[in-house]
Parts: sequence; structure tokens; C-alpha cells
Amino acid sequence: MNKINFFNNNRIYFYVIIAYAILFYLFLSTYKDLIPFEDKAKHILLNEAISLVDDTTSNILESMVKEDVSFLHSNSNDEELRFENEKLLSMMNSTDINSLFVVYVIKGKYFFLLDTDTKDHADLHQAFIPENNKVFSQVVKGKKKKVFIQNEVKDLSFTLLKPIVQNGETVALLVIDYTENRLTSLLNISVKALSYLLILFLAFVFAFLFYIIYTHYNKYKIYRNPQTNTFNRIYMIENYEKIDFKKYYVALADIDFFKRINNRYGQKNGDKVIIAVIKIIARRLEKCDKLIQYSGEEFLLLIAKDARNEYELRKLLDDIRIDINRAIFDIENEKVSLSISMGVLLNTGIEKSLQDVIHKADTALYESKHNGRDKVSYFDISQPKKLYREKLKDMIESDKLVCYYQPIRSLEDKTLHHYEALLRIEDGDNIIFPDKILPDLEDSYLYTNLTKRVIEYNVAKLKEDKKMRISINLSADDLVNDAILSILAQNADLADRLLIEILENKSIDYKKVELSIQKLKLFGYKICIDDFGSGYSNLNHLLKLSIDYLKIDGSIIKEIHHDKRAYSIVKTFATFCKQNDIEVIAEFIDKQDVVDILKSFGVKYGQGWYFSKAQPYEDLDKDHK
Amino acid sequence: MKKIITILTIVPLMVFAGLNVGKVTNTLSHIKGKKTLSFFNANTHIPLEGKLKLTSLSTADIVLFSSKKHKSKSTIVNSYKKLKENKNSIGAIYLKKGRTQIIFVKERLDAKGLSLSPKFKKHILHEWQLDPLALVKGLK
Repeated sequence: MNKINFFNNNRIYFYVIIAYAILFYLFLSTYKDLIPFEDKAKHILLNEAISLVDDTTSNILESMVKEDVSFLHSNSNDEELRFENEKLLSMMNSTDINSLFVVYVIKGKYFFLLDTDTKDHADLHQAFIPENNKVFSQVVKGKKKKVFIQNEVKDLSFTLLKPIVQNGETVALLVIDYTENRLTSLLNISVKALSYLLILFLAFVFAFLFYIIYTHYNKYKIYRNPQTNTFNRIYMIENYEKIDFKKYYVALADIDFFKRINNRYGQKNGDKVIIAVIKIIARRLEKCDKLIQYSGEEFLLLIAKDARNEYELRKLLDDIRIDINRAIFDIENEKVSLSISMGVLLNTGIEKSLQDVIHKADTALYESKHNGRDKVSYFDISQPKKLYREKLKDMIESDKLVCYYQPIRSLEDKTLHHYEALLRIEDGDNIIFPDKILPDLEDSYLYTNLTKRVIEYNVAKLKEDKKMRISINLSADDLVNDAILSILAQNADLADRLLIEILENKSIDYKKVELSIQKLKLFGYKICIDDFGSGYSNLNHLLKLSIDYLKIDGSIIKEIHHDKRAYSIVKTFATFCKQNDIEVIAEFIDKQDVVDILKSFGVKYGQGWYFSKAQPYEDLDKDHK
Repeated sequence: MKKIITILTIVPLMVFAGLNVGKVTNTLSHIKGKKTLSFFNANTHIPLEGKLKLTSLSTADIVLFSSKKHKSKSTIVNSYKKLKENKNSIGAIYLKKGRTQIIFVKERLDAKGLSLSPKFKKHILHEWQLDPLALVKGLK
């Protein structure tokens, strides 16, 4: 199927194969005609080679043949004349001539009349059986000289037959045998060499063609999703420079809340949904358009400007959005509806790179998501708000991303247990807090990039400072992300000093998260549930996770000394954790009274302004006490 | 003596060097008699095999390239001159002008109850065609 698609989509290969077939046919035709061609070529060259001998022998024969005296009778009866004639003819002998003799014909049989050969001299009237009777007959009847290639007689290259005509009839034949000479050898070699070269050339062309098609097919396989035949991200990365983005309107589309599909129905079903969505999109596209699976559920649509104007583009994208909105996806006997958000850049002509184009389409996509999803937004350069997201991306990808560290201390003796790494972005003199940026990045690949950067930042700090212990915050989505897990696995040697805090969210898949926790624990990582009690968590789910620490949400802790319900909740959590060997950490501690209450519940660790604010690494006590 | 042996060895070799053995074998194999003909090859330097039934001299119907005369047997000689002189020989096989010459005499074949396929007619001469005087008479 993949191969058929490949050839359907790459018609050039059809033409190349047809061209090759024609070439092969031509070669076969040529090869078939090669022998006659060789003979023709030889005849031309041979006629050229015998021209001198031909002229001379004509003169000699003219002098030998007299009109009024029978040539045959006189020569067979007069030994002296025969001797004279043989002498005359022998003047023609050279190193190129093997033998030169005259035969006459009676009733289709040939007999020697004159022979210039002294070593292998034939007797007068001795029978001669020519190897090529037909040619001899032709010369007798046709009365015209003939040169033929000697294929049967070894050591001879060609033979010249000249009719001796008297009174309008052929009475005898002058036979001149030429030895194998350089001319024919060269001719044999060159014609053969030509055919071998042709075969070699065709074989080379075939091998080269096969190599090109094979390479392109392999690339095609790498570049395409085999199930949907759409391009993937690898195609885009490798063809970044080649894609003439200015010829296209560029739209970035993202399936809304797709992670929930994956989390709820598993990745296999998630992939099926993606394929179905791709098919819906592809139905509306023209051949000149390009559909690239940019990331899992994100698609890049390159809509050819030649095929549509702006109005038609807007209609097309809206149609796609409506198609997906109306489609019902059957997943494990459940009917599921989806929506898609799109961001579009119309004016691609002024952009410098495809990356810039995608950046702007992504900004528009963000706008769609921010405004309730299931929308198509168009990038508008006049709105600075949209540019904010672009700026955010730049900041994440640059060194403006830093971590501040807040100590988590023992409530008993205030000794340092570890630091919590808290994300900050330094925008000039301003410090941007995560709560300002994370909602904007939710459900975006940038969020994963951000997590990766945070892990890498802290891994570097731990490698640099061997005394330091850090906890980092990961979302439940991060925990089921293979790329994040892979980074953590690669840095397992730091597991005893790197604690993982899991942030809750409402789409948390406890089974998958537990699976990831088990993997991380095998590497030696300690796991902590962050902000417990803030949202959707309950004790039932908590029991399913193999955690080491539980951090009670600050919103409860800060009420503990004047709110009975908060007091009871924390006490219940603390009791539960104690019975299940889970250490409790309290955050937002701002006074000694809170510390005292927490200590009475058996809470061991705490953090908050009472101990210290979050600080840059440079301001920390380097002894970490 | 050594010289004689050397000459006796080399001369036949020289005479037959370049002989088209395949053509010879093929032609001989097409001689038909009342029964399947067997041959005795007196010149071991000419490797006649394959199609021909080769036997000993005593049992052979046709003796090839023998320098002796075998009155009771048909012989094929190794020169045109011997063919003319030895009326018992039915044919001759030799080299002339680099060409393998295979000649049979029709009357002699007939006398021995032998025949050759028509496709070899160019190799068959009549007795008179061996005779120079007869030939001269036929000349124009």
C-alpha cells in the first residue's frame, strides 16, 4: 500500500521507469542489429582496405585476359603463360595477403588454375571446395567483386573475390585471402566493446535509478505516516529550507483537549482518532496543498495560494472545523465528539523563514484556544497581546528561564531537608511568575519544552553543587510523557538528590501516573504529591499512588490557626499519612503558631516565608544548612 | 632415427593443423551404407569422436588417413593426389589454403554401396572431375 502510494505520489518515477523501459527496448533492438551493423561497418572499411589491391589486380587481370584467346584454355595448356601469370599476380602478395589464386568453375565445382603460393601450391585442375559456396556463386553470376568476412577459416580475416570476365561471362575467380590484421581486430574489439559498454551503461543506469528510487522510497517512508500518508515532522525538519512557504497560507491546527482522549482511552485509540481527523482534513485539501503532522495532535496545513483566495481559504478552514465538530468518533463503543482550533497566517510573503511563519500561526492558534477553542483565528500583527506568546516562547528557549529555591525545613529543628525549585522568568528587571505563564501554555508543546528546560536547569545545578537536594514540579501529563521520563532516566544517578513533586490536574489518569511513579522509584527517585487538597484529589486516589511525601496545599495551611475545618482536614491528612508511611510537608507557613499546630499533628516538614522566601541560587547559603 | 620419428610425428600434425574436426566428423557421420558404418582412424592426432563409431582396423568399414593401402576396405585419404591415384579411396580430407577440404567421388561411393546426404553435394565430385584432360575438354 505504501509502495503504491509512493508511486502514485511520485509520478516522476513512473516516467523514469517508462524511459528506462524504452531505453532497454532500444538497446535490445540495437543489440539485435549489432551484428549486421558490424558487418556493414566492416564491409565499408574492408572495401577501403582493398581499394589499392583491387585497382592493381584489375589492371593485371586486364592484361592477362585477352578477348580472342580463351583465358582458361591458354592457361591450362600453356605452362609458361601460367608461370608468367602467377608471377604477375604474385606481385600483389604482401604480409596482409595469405594466399592469392585463381579458380575456374565447371558445373558448380571449382578447380585451381593459377596459384601464387609456393609453400601450399595447388596443382592445376585440383578441386577446390570453397567454404562459402553461396558467395562464390554470387560473384560468378553477378560478375561483381565481393569482400566477405572469413568466419569459418582460421587465421583469415576476409576474402576478396574478383570475377575474371571474358566475353561477358565469368570464366574464373581471383581469390585473395587476407590474414587477420589490425583493422579487423580493432573492428571486432570496438564493436564488441561498444555493446559491452552499452550493457555496462544500462546496468549502471539501472543501479543508479534503483538507488535513487530506493533512497526516495526510504525517505518517503520516514517522512510519511503510513496510515494516513501525510507528512510528519521529520519531513518538515529535513525540508525546512526547501519548502517555499511564501506560496502557501499556513494554518496550525490542534485537536482540543486531545490529551484527555489519550489519557482516557489509551494511546492506540488516540492514534486512531488522529488518523480519523487527518482523513477529515485531507478530504478538503487539494493535491497542491500539504498536510504535515507537526506533532501528535498538531497539524500544519500549507494551503496553496494558487488554488484559493483568502475568502476561499477562510471558508475551507471553517468547513474543516465544522466537519470535525460534527464528526462522531467511535472509541471502544463510546461516541466521542471533538473540536479543533486553528491559527492561520495569511501574509506569509513577508516572513523570513518557515519558523517565523509557524511561530505566528501558533500565536493565532493560542488566540483560538484562549477564546474558548473550536475556532479559527488569524494572526494579526497589530495586536501586541498575540505577540506576547511569541515572546514567551523566545524566553523559554533562551537563558531567561531560571529557578529560585525555597527551603523545606524540619519543623522540629529547622534543619534544611531540601529546596523546592520554583520557576521564574527574568524579563529585563521584571520577574515573571509561573502562574502568569503556565495557563497560557497549557495543552501546548511549549509546556513540555518548559518542563524539559526546568529539569535540565536543575540537573546542571545538582551536578555543580553536590550538597544540594532539590524538588522539581512536574504535572501529571509530564509524568506520562516519554521524553520527560527519558530525561529523568538518563539522570538517575542524581535520584537521591532530586525529588519529584507531582502537580494535580483534573484530567489525571491515576493508573498511568502510578505506572510512571513505579518506574521513577526503580531509578531511586522520591515522589511527592504537591498542593494536596487544592483541587480534585481524594484519599481514595491517593491510596493508589506509591508516594513518599505529601505536600498539603498552602490555602488550607494558612487558615489552620483560625478555621476549624482547615484544622480538621490537616489533622486527618497527617494521621492518614502517618499510618501509611508518608511524610507530610506543609507550605505557606508564615508564623510560629502554625508550626506548633503542625508539629502537634506530627507534620515533619514545612516551607514558607516564616523560614525563607524563594531566592536565586546565588543568594543561598552554600552549606545548605 | 630420432629425426625420422620427429618428422613422422610433426608432418601429419602440420598437415592437419587447422583442420575443422567438427566439420569432418559431421560430414563423415552422414555417409550412409547398408549398415551402420564403423571407422578406423589411422591418425590419432585427429580426434574424431562423438558422432562416429570408431573401431579397430579389422572391423572398420572405412579406414581414415592411412598411409597403407587396404584393398578390402573403403579408405579416405589425406591428400588430393592420393585420391586421384588410389582408386580404392572414396574420398580425401586435407587442408588447402587454410580451408578444410572434404571431397568424395560419387562413382566410388556408389561402387561401395555408400551415399552422402544431398546437403553435402558441394563435397561430391565425379570421377571425370579428377581428370585434368576431361576438365580441359569441358573448359570454355
